[in-house]
Amino acid sequence: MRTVFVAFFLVVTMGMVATQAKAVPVFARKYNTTCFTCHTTPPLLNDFGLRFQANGYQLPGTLEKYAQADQPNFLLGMVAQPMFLYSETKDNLGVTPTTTSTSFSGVEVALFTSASLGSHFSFFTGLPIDYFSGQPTTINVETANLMYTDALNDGTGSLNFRLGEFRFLIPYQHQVLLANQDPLIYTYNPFAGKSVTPANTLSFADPNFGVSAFGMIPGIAEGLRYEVGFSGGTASDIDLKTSKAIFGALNQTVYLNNAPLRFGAFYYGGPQDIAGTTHFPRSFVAPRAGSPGIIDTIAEPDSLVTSGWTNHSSRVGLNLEIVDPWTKRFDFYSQYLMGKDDNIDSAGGGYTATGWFAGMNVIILPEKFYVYGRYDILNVKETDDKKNQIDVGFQYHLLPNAFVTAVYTITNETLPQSATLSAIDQTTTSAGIGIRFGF
Amino acid sequence: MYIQTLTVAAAIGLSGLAWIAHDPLSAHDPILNASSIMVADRSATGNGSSYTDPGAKIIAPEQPASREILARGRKMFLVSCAPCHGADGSGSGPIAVNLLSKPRDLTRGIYMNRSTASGQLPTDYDLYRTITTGLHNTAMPAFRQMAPGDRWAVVQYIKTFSARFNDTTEYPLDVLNVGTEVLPSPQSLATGRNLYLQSQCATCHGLRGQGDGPAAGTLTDDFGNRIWPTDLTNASAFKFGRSNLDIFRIFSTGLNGTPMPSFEQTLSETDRWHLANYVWSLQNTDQYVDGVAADSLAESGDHR
Repeated sequence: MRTVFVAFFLVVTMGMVATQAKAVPVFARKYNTTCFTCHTTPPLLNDFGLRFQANGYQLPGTLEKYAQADQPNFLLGMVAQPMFLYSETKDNLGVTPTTTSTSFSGVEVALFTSASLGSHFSFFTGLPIDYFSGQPTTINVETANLMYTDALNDGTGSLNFRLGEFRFLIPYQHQVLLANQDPLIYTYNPFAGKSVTPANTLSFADPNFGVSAFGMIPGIAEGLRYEVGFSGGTASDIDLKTSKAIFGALNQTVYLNNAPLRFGAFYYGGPQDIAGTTHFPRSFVAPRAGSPGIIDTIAEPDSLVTSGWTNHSSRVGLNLEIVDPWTKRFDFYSQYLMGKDDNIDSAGGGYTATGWFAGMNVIILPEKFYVYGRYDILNVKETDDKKNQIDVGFQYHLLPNAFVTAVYTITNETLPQSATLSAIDQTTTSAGIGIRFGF
Repeated sequence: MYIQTLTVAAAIGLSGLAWIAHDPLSAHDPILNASSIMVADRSATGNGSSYTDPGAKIIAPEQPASREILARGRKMFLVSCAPCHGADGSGSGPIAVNLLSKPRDLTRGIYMNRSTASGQLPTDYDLYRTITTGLHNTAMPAFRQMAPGDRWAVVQYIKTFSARFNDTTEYPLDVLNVGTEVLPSPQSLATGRNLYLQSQCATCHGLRGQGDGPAAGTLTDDFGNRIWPTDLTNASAFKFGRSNLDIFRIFSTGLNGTPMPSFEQTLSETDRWHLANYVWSLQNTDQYVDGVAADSLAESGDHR
């Protein structure tokens, strides 16, 4: 029984946080339809959902010139997700204490509101409220943007604009969210472990502040989805003064027997101010060579102390996705991404990181049961850090808007070998199970 | 600074851009577009009436829509409809496999939501209505904010998927005449209840209309898809509208491609109204509880 109980806990989550849940049931109510019109399973967007998103959160082919007569008066959606978490970290040499933790987050809630404000104008706002056991409750405006839709008045939403805090329309954000862990390269931070706080972060994992043009052009082959704009990263001034980074994404879709094949590329890069910070070396513990009983704290050879500089950060990626054209139940996707930072220490020292992930979502039972898996790898050339991660999980719908979601994650990191130290493989296993309600 | 300048310039330019961009087939003149098609339809009826007139007969296929309208319809179809119905209209679009209520195979010309006699093609307005209102409780949303001209263009394009629409042997189409509505009353509901039992409705929909009749688990449509009888006690489950007029229409036309028959030949118009009133009452659970009429409950003082 204990085994079963532990197994129950072991079936995934960790990153299964409500801030990543983007299903917005308010849209289902507004358009008098089901969640599965836009989602294979929330938050995984299907073809219709991608077009809905690219049309400024309006039905593709429509321009909302007025509020719908029967749209809900209460234009507020909510996603709640109580969950259990289990995590264990250990290394192959046993030099760091094995740490385990279990926790229960009461209810994580994300509130969403979105509406058309009249001809061409609409907005989208998301406010996650996170409650983790033992941690203070946080509420923040994660996403808030104003959109001007269908600027060409052609009814297809081929040109829209948005201003504010939003996530880029990069490929696979929705699949990434289904896997519940951001890809390693999305969360890669060259300043990790250093006491450095960049003024902003250019992130694919979080919403960024900026202004962009986006949409889907159905006339190009069978649908070109794009977004181009300026951004100040995750901590931009609202007047866009720090929005000096540029980003762009192109994703072309063609259909094989009505099954989508998508490919594309994206870029995000610009200056990153590291003003008013001090740079300390990072350190880690490891056994002394030849004396495994002795544990040393090792500092990286980095002692620069400075008060401000600018790093130029750039991320460029390629993506490919294919749904099997026979059963249309297997969705394979892959992305390669390279990140370069040319000045992380004020002395011109740079890091080059490469990341790659590939995954699959499978429809087992329509509108009911889905499984997924993803393999993820990250290498940082200069520090010889190697990290890889496997996510597997499932989602089972009790109702269209209520489902059990579970994920199991193994993350392995190889810390670098030095002249005196052996390399260490550090493995973190996390698992969790939760239930997600959308209202 | 240049970014702010660009942003302001873009904002100023947007309204001009929207004004300049003009597509004669777009929403700018939807009434004109819709009206021109309506005129064509009136001529198709051959008697000066439109297919929206009760009892009208549409005697022949319409004149083909213009190339511009079909091009517009195709463009909108690929944007809005192809994800479910497929670019080829086969009903096997990229998301169809994940939907329990399968998208229509438009190449067969078989439609449920009609105002025409059982087995017949839908009128243009039937297709327009479905696009406009959607099918409740399914993945088919209401495209009422698609420009009316675009919706009409989609109707014309959809018809190109099936040769039935140009087959003269499919005509005339007999548009439903709803006759004189019988208002709901305890007597009408009681009559409707009897007709519900006599007409074997309970075989699929169950004695209490909850969609749990003995045959409920065995139903498939003409396309081989598994389907389920509507839970008549759930107002959200009525795909084609839940008013007694909507229900009367379904009793009269049947749902082509499904086991739901038309009762036009077997029940009189008045009886179909009684039956419609009874089914309508099931979603308003105060009308009939285990076969006891509302007035009986009132007389017994049972107001639960």
